[in-house]
Amino acid sequence: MRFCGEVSAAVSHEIKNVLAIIKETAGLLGDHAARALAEEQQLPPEQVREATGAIDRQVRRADGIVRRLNRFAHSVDRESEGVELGESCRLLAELATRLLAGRSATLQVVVPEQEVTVQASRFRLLHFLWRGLESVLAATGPGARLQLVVSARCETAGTADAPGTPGIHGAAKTVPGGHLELSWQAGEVVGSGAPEFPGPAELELLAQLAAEFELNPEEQRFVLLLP
Amino acid sequence: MRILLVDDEEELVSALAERLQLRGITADWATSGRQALELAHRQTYDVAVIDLKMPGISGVELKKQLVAGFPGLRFIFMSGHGSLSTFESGIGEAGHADYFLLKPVDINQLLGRISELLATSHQGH
Repeated sequence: MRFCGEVSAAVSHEIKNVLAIIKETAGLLGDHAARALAEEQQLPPEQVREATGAIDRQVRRADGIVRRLNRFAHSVDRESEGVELGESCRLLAELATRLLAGRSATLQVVVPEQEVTVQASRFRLLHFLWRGLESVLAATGPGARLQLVVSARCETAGTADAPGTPGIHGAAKTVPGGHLELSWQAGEVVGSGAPEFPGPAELELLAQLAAEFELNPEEQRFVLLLP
Repeated sequence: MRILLVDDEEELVSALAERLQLRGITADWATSGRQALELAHRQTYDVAVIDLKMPGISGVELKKQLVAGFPGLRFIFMSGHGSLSTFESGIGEAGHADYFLLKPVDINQLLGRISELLATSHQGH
């Protein structure tokens, strides 16, 4: 519930900003029109073009915001479905725009050419990653640079590594699925240190996702392995 | 009368400043707390209208720094919150301002608040 509230609050703030810009732009055009009328002058076409251009930009921005809210809303539709990890991570980054901006942080999402699809609950995956993002941002302080890398999980006996990266070493078995790695560099002001993550709620999400997780505070990264 | 408007949405803050100018109020604008502090050091303002949520220096932090440097300055906070009650309960004592306005801001309401603040400032001096 808290997660939904946080996402809704962030999105509603963005929409409010869009509405505010549309309102002021329309208001300004109205002011210019009233002045032109009072002075029996023509309203300069350039002013009209500027205003309509700004309104058009904001309507398209609002459309993007509502589309992503719609994608998020439908993440609860199925308990388990084919989840495209690249698409989901991009959605996460878009939903977290205000969260990141509030901490002057950046998040780069790196996805492979070929989309990686896992069978999971999209909502739970987004929820887990959102919590991870929040914990990392709290730990790193303002101005952090984060990178979320999506890759296919390697089917290597004895390990469960993404190509070229050290990962979680487990029993020898075939492990098709997805590999997500969130790494970070603190900003100018260093935060409280290691993220306090995962907590009990996140451990429950991990169990529901049947995922493996490894946090490495020294290397400033965490890895999520999805079946 | 000189107003300082601060919001990270440039199209919003520039349009609002122009609307105030058309009503005879000198208004400067900044899109970050840092820019706002630079302006405040160069120019004397009567009222600062500040967005609460901004990247970098937040609205509350900016207000603290402006209060320290410019004691006579009065403050109005703007926010994208859904209601005034969630807005005020969310920021606590540190975010105390003379007035709070919800986005989208009504220009006449903003003008009314500015006039009230200036009237009380002049009574106090």
